[in-house]
Amino acid sequence: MLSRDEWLQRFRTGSLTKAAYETPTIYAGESMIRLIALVAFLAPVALAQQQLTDWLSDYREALRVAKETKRPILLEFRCEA
Amino acid sequence: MEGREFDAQVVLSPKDSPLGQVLDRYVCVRVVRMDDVNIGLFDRDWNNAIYFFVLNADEQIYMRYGGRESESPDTYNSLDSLRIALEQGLALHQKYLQGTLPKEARPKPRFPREMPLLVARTFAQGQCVECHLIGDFQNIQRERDGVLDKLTDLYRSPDIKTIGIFLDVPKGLVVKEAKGAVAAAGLKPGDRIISWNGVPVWTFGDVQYRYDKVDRRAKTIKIGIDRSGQPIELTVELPPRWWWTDLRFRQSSVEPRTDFEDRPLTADEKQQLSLKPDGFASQVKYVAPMTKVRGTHDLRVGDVIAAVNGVESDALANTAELYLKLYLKAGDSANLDVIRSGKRITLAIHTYALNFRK
Repeated sequence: MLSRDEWLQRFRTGSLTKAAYETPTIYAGESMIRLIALVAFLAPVALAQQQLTDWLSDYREALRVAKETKRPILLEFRCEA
Repeated sequence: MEGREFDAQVVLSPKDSPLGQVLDRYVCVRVVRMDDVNIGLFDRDWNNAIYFFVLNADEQIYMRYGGRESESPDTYNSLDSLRIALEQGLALHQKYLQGTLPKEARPKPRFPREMPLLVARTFAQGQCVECHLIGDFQNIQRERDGVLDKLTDLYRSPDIKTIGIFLDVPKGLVVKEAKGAVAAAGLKPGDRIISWNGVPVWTFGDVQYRYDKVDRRAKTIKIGIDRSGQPIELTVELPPRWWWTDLRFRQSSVEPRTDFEDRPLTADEKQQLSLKPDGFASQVKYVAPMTKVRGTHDLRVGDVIAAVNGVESDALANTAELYLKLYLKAGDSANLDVIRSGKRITLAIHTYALNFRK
């Protein structure tokens, strides 16, 4: 299983699978290639099992949930352009 | 992309991580389109690509998290300091639930769709309302209305390092090193900043926001600190041009682009060239590669600019470049008195505006 840092590194590169094939250990043998590809393929599944923090994408919904649960809100503005 | 790594680290925080455990006590929401955002309530420096607010269901803002310096967008982002801030946010929220948190006046709501210039460039063309476009079009409108104050609106978010504050970033507002103006006022390493001009602050984002609201003509500011549990208020004498920041990272079309950078001459250099001691004479240290293509000017590295349109000194500017940025509109031209290889010559400069999304 990929560590969180490794996953983040691959997340930053834009493609988990592509990152796996750029790993130098790919040349160690075909079995290694298969292993890396399998790990890269399963990484999102492993990550999902890691239970990540829940994030909403609708501010109005966040206000509603906060009122209902009496929790504060952490609002992130992210300009992705 | 600015803040991409920090964004991923926060959003992908495992629930059992130190940050995740605190985030789990919040309703977390990530907004990537600014189209319907109340920019009156969520006012900020729009040249930050990532920015956080901590608030309650009544939209009372407890604190901000984010902010940047010219050098890097990531200097003040830290998972540790975010966790500390969010823990403080939970304490404030508890006060809110108990009814003991003072209420604040709510800013007038304002939305991007109410900005005609922004609408024409984004909504009308089916394009995204990017954060920096909000700030840029606010300034274009101010310029058109004759109310643009460049010291405040162009030179946003003054740098705390200019007055000597160096933070221990993972610890939030704990001071790592104090130099210059704040050291003279008594700030010491280990102090924790708790208020800025009388307003409570919890994060660097709060500090930068409050600092940005300080009148640029102010001579002093008051910084409240916690020193070993003892609250102390320091009065800091602000140095000249405390508001100045490097604008290069900003996408601002009210900034006259000059295609050169300079440095102020020393007193000795001015004397050798028989220039006014209090003048803004400066030496060109960089010329942008596309200058000739754009026809901006014929300046060379090493040239000394002695005056702009016959003006040699100014109360605010300490270099010719700053004088041009403060007093010319983007697109204006000027004459420069230049000393090149010991000879005085006159050169024209034609400034221009940054254009995008046209």
